Amino acid sequence: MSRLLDAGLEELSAMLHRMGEFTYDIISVSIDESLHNTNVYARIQETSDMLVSMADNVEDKTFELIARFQPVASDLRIIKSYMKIAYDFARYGRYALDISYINQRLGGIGKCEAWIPQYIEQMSKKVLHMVRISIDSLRNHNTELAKTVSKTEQEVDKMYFEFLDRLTEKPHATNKCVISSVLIIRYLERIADHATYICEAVIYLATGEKLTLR
Amino acid sequence: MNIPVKVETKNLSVSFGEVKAIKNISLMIPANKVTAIIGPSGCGKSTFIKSLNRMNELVKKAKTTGEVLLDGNNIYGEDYDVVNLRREVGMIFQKPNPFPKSIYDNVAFGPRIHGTHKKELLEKIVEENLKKAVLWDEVSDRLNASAMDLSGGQQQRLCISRALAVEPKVILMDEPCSALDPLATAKIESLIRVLSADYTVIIVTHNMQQAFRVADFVAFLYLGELIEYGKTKSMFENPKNELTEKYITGEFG
Amino acid sequence: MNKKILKQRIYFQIFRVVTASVIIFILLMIGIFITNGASAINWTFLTDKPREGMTQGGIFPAIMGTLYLTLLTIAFAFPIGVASAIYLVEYAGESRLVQVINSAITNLAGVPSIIHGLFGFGLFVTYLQFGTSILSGALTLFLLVLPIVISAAREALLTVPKSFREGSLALGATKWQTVRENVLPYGLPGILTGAILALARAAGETAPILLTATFFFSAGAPAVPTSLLDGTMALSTHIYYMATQHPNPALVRSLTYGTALVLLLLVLSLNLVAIVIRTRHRRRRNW
Repeated sequence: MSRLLDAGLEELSAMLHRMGEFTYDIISVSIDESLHNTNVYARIQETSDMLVSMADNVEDKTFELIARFQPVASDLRIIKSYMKIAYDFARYGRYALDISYINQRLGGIGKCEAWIPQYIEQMSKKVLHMVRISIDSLRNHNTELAKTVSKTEQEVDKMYFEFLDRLTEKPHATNKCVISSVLIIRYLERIADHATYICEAVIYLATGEKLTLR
Repeated sequence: MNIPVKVETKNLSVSFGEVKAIKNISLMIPANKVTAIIGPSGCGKSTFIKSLNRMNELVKKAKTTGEVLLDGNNIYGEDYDVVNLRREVGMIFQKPNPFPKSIYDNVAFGPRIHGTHKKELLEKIVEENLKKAVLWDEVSDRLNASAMDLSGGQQQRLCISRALAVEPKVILMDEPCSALDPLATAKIESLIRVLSADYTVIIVTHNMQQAFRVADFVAFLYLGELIEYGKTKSMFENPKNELTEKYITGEFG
Repeated sequence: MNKKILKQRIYFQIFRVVTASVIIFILLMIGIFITNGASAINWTFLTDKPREGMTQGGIFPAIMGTLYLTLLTIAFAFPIGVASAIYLVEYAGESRLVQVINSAITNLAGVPSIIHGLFGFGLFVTYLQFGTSILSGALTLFLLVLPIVISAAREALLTVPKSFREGSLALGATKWQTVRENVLPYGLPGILTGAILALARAAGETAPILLTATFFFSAGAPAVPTSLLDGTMALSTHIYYMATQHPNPALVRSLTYGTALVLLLLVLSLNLVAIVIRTRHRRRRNW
């Protein structure tokens, strides 16, 4: 039996799915831009702005559903989580935009000492993997998949601190490279954090448990 | 439960002839809180609440087994004073039932029955309890008017002050708002919250939203059995039983 | 014209005619008694005892007799009838025994009055040796009207909504307190109506008192009874005697019709009082 609320929930779910795909795309593109010194800032900005307004729409829709239907139990948790996740997706967009901005200002890291772009490419692969997990686990409310993000999260954390250590040991890189790479890796780490938040929200919406996956 | 318990049922079952209305319900109802009983039609919630002041006994062929403890004493025990029980455990009915007497006489009815006849005392009791039910301001100038001239919401508040006048410890409410419009309902709901400071309130409602609005604890009954019982927030955020989840999200009932 | 409407008009006309004929019949009856009996009615008629072998004088003893009989009957029937009704409705429940009692009461109401009379004769007059007396008559009439009082009282009590009782009990009142404060007061008009109708019935009965309480005329016995064990004259039986036992019925026709008119007026006014009480109660009732 389909309830009035169900149509609203479907709509929210579809909005989030679209947002998710945009974010994966936008993050890959921004990393790519850093590594290959291309210029796609305009496109990234457009997408990021779109994500922010989509998050606003999700928030509006959420409150509309709450006012109308007074949802409870799993419905309530879903709606609560969707709103958080929409915000997290919008943050993905912002960080991608921040990376692109750094690329424009400081010229990217493609021309830096080889180890730097290699490191960042490696880390970005892991981070993109986490983003993928967050988007996919949301789609099916898949808690098992959501939990797997934990492992990669730890790896990314480790890589982050290791990079900082290595950078302090090797003073050969130019100022531009140092600043760019530190900022980019910082943004990547934040993206990873938000991926974790999204997965925690997926677990909460399905089971009501508030787990920490970090 | 670490809050003091006012009413406790132990394996309470009630049947009417062949039909088992409630089966083996064991529940602890905390003092000075609002506890709501929810469930689909026919789940036994009315029967349950009426067994707490032995009003079920007015129905023929009603048979009750198990215990109901009020402050630790089994109200179904031999020699338990039923008449006094109903003083301590008051009841508000679904359809407001003021007596066709004056507003004053309605509220004074209980105290008079129990032996209070002094005019000054009765006047004080009437005023006090009409104030407690937030009705005084609306009727203080016409206490001798017939209670039947009041609106539905006012009549229900009159019934509440009538019940309060005998100084109960527990107030039972059987769907008190289902015959009232939304504004009257809202007034009664906020009255319920205020009353819970001094009384233990148990309310049966078929309106889940109402239960979530007014209650501290919620019990879900289905087909005569207790399915789940817990704090309101955990009930509506994360019910433990799948049946509860299905009912409160509107998949059935 | 539409066939359906025509049919309806025909039916309604038939109903009107039938209703009118009933009213006409009643008016006719009253008219006959008035024309034949009004001439006999004067102050003497109402206050004097019969003289000259019932050809002159009045019916004062008969009036008093009817009064004593009916009042005594109600004195027995009202408390016992109302108490029984209260018990049956408020306390007795719905067991098989109670159902049997209720149907026994209804059946008692259907017993022919002559049989009541014969029973009264056997039990009160003969066996208990009360003789032909007001006491025997009142007791016999009591059995006759008791079902009326009980039924009317039952109906009146059943009309009082259950919610009044529930509300009262839920406040910690006992059953009797509930009945006394919250049921009886509201059922009283209905109970009174029933009592008055029973009065009217008792006043008009002939056969039961014929066998148990009344005499035609006895020179020696006091005309107006002074003790419960005295026999008496009564309006209803007086009509019977005057019309059938009098040596010269034709001579006393106007007296007979006059007596009938008095009895008719008495019964009609009692019924009227009952109707007025019932209507006023219904109008004033706000529940």
